[in-house]
Amino acid sequence: MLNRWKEIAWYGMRFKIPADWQLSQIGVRYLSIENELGPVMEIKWAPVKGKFSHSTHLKQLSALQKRQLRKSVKPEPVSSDWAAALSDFKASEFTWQSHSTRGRGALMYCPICRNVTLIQFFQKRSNPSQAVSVDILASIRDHRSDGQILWAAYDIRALVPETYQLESYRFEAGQYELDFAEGSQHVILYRWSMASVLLDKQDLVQFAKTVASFGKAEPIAGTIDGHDMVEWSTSPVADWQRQLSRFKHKASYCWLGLWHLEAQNRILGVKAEGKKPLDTAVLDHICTHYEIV
Amino acid sequence: MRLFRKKSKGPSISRAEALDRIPDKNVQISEERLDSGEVVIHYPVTMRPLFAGLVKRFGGPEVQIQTKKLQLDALGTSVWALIDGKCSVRQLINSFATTHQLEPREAEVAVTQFLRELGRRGLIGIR
Repeated sequence: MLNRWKEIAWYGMRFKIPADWQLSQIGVRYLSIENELGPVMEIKWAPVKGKFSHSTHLKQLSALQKRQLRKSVKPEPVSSDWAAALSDFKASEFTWQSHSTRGRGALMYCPICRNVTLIQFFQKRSNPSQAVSVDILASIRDHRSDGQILWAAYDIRALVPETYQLESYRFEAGQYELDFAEGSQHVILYRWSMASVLLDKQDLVQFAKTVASFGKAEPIAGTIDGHDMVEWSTSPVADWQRQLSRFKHKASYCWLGLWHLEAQNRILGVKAEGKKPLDTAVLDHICTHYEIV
Repeated sequence: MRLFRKKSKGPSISRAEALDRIPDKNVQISEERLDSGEVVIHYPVTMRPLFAGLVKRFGGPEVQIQTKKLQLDALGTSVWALIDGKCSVRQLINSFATTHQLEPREAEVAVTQFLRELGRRGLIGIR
């Protein structure tokens, strides 16, 4: 089990989990992870405003729990097996016990990015082994220095400039969608599975027309890195149209790129829309780093 | 007499137990395969008592059983073909995930939603 790991990256947080564990809940700066027997791990994080105190934060968090559980939360010094893995953080450890489950976790504060992270491992029937929790803790990274944010959930992996904030997300069977925004400009990442079924009775151009509608402009089919792709864009042509676009409610500059990864049976797509001309360098960068893992 | 009785939750089973259950097709249904490869399921539906009473009053037959049709799409057909009364839900999910190169979680959601819909219509039973 320990030989295969997968990367999870969400809202600036990155870490690795065993390949047979799965994301079960995704929230804003919150992830819950389960194996086939149930929840095994939970992680939440947030930027800290002002001074950080381990005991205060732990008290605040435990106050949110039920009375029985609240009483059982015990702060503890970082144990020797976790100390090395948590050396990049100012960390404290805690344990708790309910009638059916035990938990062991850590509260970690990063002095560089001023982010506090709470991670806890549930110990029910199948305890994540000590080695697994140590490896997960050692893999945690909460900031980067290149101005990009990595997003990796399920089978998608994307690198998006940190100026783009995640506005909404949708993970449904067959279709994932992540909508990022920077001011009035939106970049939406799409991923469809079962591409063979979607493209059974239509080609990629016809499929693109079900994703977006760009008026009179026609999508252009081509190839990229050996994959079938479709590109579709629209923008105001005349000067007066460009001037007018600033006052319109709807975005006037739109671009859609879809490409079919036949070997993985997936279709990936990036749609960008805004009132101002789109930054093609940023779009190129996002498309280049958007992939299936 | 208590006016507001608390609803009983019914028997709850764990996710692992649910995935180990075996779905089986209703023996009263018939299926037809179209040229496109998709399956149409014909299944009997008993008329609601109110409508059955109205039909009887207007001279209709006493036992009111209608036959309804459900046409499955390509994905539904592929899951339907896997239901053989031997494979567990977990095995169906794994087969479906492998065939369509899906994430385990994604396959689980798709297959269990589909099975729930089939169960709701009485097309399958789970044991």
